[in-house]
Formats: sequence, structure tokens, C-alpha cells
Amino acid sequence: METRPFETKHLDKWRSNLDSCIRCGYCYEHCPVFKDTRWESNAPRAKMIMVYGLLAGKLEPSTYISDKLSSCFYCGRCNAACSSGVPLTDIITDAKRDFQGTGFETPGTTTGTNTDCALCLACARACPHEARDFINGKIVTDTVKCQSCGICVDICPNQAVATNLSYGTDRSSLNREISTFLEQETAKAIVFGCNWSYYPDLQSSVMDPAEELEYKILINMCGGRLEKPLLLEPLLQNAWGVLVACCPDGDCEHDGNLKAKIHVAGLRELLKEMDIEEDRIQLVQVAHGDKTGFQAAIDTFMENLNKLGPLNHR
Amino acid sequence: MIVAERKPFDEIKHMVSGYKKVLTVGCGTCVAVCLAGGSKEAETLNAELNLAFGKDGPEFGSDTVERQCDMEFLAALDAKVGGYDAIISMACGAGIQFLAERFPGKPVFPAVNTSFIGVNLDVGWYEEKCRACGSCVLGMTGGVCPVTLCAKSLFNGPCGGTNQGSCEIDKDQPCAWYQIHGRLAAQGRLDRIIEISSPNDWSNQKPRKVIQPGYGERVKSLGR
Repeated sequence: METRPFETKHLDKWRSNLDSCIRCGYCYEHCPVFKDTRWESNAPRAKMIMVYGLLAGKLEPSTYISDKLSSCFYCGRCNAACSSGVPLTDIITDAKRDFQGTGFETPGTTTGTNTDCALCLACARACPHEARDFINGKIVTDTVKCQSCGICVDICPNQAVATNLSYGTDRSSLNREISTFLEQETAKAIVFGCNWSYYPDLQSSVMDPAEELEYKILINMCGGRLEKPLLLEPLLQNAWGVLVACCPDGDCEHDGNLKAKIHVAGLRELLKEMDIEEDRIQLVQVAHGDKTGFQAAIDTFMENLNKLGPLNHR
Repeated sequence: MIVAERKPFDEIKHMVSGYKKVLTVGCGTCVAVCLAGGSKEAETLNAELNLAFGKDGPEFGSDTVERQCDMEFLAALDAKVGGYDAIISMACGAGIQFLAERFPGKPVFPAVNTSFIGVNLDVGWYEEKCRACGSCVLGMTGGVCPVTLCAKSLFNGPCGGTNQGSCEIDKDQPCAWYQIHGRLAAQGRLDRIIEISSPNDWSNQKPRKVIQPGYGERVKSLGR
């Protein structure tokens, strides 16, 4: 494939105000990529330092740097947490623009399509960011437009779409977490929480609770990528219930909450057909950053679940 | 493409009750495209069945082949099927039958209802366009099929029930012959529908076979 030389064409506009990042590191704890790896180089701050290096000519462009800068789920939590008001995700997008088409371009957290693709075009039609297109007989992801929400992962009928670098958000990683948690005697429920809105950051979450929690919160990047088999997995492993939390109507940038609502409604219907209490699967919509509301929803759900009792009593 | 819809869960569950090991086979082409029977749906169905039957129920395996209507793709299942005592097929009616023919000793159960040959209007939205009547008149009718789109499958103009562009059965159902007239008039080809068309021969229907020109000798040599 023909490539072009790397130029800081889009990044140039940040040259004069990139210094406003004072390297405080408040962004760390909010970044899902950092939270998964705990690597300094994956933190939003490191991304800014790399951009600074590229602009100052102190860093040579490389696939390594492109990989780091392309590893972003666009939750925007770093922007909100930044003490200096640096628009990190805008800068990251411009970095991706400058790397696109060069020999250093890497897919990062964007989605790719393998040869199982049936060319049904569902992903291209459903992508809320118009990032997937049918070009020269193949489905191609625009690595700049893709915001790694995973709507395409959920909709693909042949399981041909996957996030290139998932940082623990892929189904097999989540399944592993589900299994590990549910092995504990006290484990009762899985809560799928969306990173975009209210997933508790490291500082406010309890890392080593005195008592084992009865539930585990698993981050997914968007309610819209919660595939049905994933939602059923906890129940198959004898969890008592599953709570899906997503954004309120109109608040999801990807309309992923609509997808989550459809899936959960379908599964509740299915549970009813199986004579299983439908309230073992519930969906709650929580406003962005409303940690109290999120916790209250979990508490209500758990209270009800404790009344229902274990699922394997059947 | 062929459009299908998944059967109600209870119906599928009832069919496989009593078996010990069941293989769910998805089909990666038409039914995958219409979001009814690809590998994702096969996996979802198995998860649902596992939950419904619980620990003492059948063991469910899954596999998805490119097309169940091609024996070469079905061959990939030969080594696997022996370990199962029943098969669920998520393919269209043709695929299900071809699978049952390949493994005649195994009960094969359909997990989808084959609906029609149609087009993809949007994600999850399909419309019937062809009844596979075997005698295509689209050249005469401006690319609008009177067999599929006319409630009476009329060949020589609309019936008395046509009503300002709609069909008498439903005002939201366009009259196919109104559409045919409109398109041919716009193309200046109304003369194409002046002649009386003879009716299609619907009698004594039997399964049709198609051998494309140049392939007759090959079919003969295969002895089928």
C-alpha cells in the first residue's frame, strides 16, 4: 500500500498550548487503557508527552507511538479530569489524523474485520460514527473516525469484528473476570457499568474492601457492545442476577443504550419463557458521573436479588 | 438473499428435549446477513438453551459453516457430527435439508423459519422481492414483480381493487400494477404491457433443478 511521509499537519495547531498540560497526572485514574495495563506509557499524560516530543522533533514517529496514541476509547474522562483544561481527545484525534496513511499507522483500539465477514454491511450501517465503509470489496475501518464504542462488535452476525487492542474490554477478558469472581462463595451478581458515564475511578472506588462484595462491576466501553451471550454468561455460571447500567436516553454518543435496552428486554422476555424471574436481569440508566445514583441502583438491585435467592435452586 | 427468522425459543427447546448432545450449526451466508442464523446467533441460542435446560440438560456444541447449501462446507462437520445425537440447523430450508441429507442418521431440527427471497433495506429490515416462480417477467414489467408484489400475482394489469396506487388488501401496500405502469410510462415503454401474457404454469410443481449451460456433462459424470 502506498504511504505518505509523517507530518505534524493536524497536530501543529496544538504547538502553542500543549504546554498547558502541567503533567499533574489527574488523568491517570480515569483512563480505561491505563487502568487495564497500569503502564505509564498508556496514560493520557504520556500521550501528551509523546505529542510534545513529535512536535518538538525530539521523538521520531514510530508504530510504537502511533499504537499508544491510537489506544483511546474516547470516554472523555481525561478531558473532564484535566486540571488545565487540555482537550486531550481532540489532540489524540489530530495525532491519529497525522499518522493515518503513513507507514506508521496502527489500528490501536479501533475495530478490525476478519475473513469471516459476510459483507452484510450491518456494521457499516449501524456505526454511529460512520467509521466503517465498504471499499474495494472489503469492510474498512477509518482509524480516525472510529471511537472504539464496539457497536459493530455486537452487531456482527459472524463474529468477524473485534477491537484490535481491547485492554480488557473484549468478551473473553470479561468472561474470565466473570468466572474468577463467581468462583467466590459470596459472589452473587455481575454489574456491567459503562465507562463513558459513571464507572468509579480508582480514587473513589474501594480497592480492598473489608468484606467481599456480593457483586462485581465490569467495565464495558458502551452498553451497545454488550452481546447477548455475554449477558447470559453470569447466569450460566450460577450468578443470581445481572445488572446492566447505561446512559440515560439521549446521552449516549453511540446510541448504545438503545441497543442495551433491546437486548435486556429480549432477555427478560426469554427468562419469563423459562420460568425464571425476569428481574434477575435488569437495566438501569444512570446520569453521567452520578456515582451515588449508580450505587443506589446497585443496592436496590442486590436487595431484590437477595429476596429472589440463588438461581441454581431450580 | 434468503431471509429467515429465528423460531420461537420454546419450539426449539421442545424439539431438542431428551437428547444428550446437540450440535447447533450456523450458516455464514444469507441467514447470517439477515441476522438470524450466523455464528453469533448460534452461540446466543446455545447460551439460551443451556440456561433453560440447566446442568442436567443436553450438552450443546456449535459450529458455523460458510454455507450449508454446499457439500464441501458441510464436509467440515463430518468428523464432528459423530459425537452428537441431534443437530440444530440455523440455515434456510435448503441448508437444513442438505445437512439432513449429509447426516441421514441424525435428527436435524430447524431453528429458523425461512421467510422469503428479499432485499436488505436497513440493519434488521428486509422486504420480499421474489417468489422464485421460475418464469421471470421483470423485463416486461419494468423491474417490478407482479408475482411477488401483487396480492393476486396478476400478469395482465391490475384488478378492480386498485385504489389510487394502493392495493385493496391494505392501503399501505402499493398496487404492483400501478407501479409497473408508472415506471414503464416514465421510460416510454407502455407498449410492453399491451400484449396479453399467458399465465404461468403453476401445475404439477416439483422440486426444480438448474444446470447452467456448459455444465450438463459434468453433472452426468457425477451420476446425480
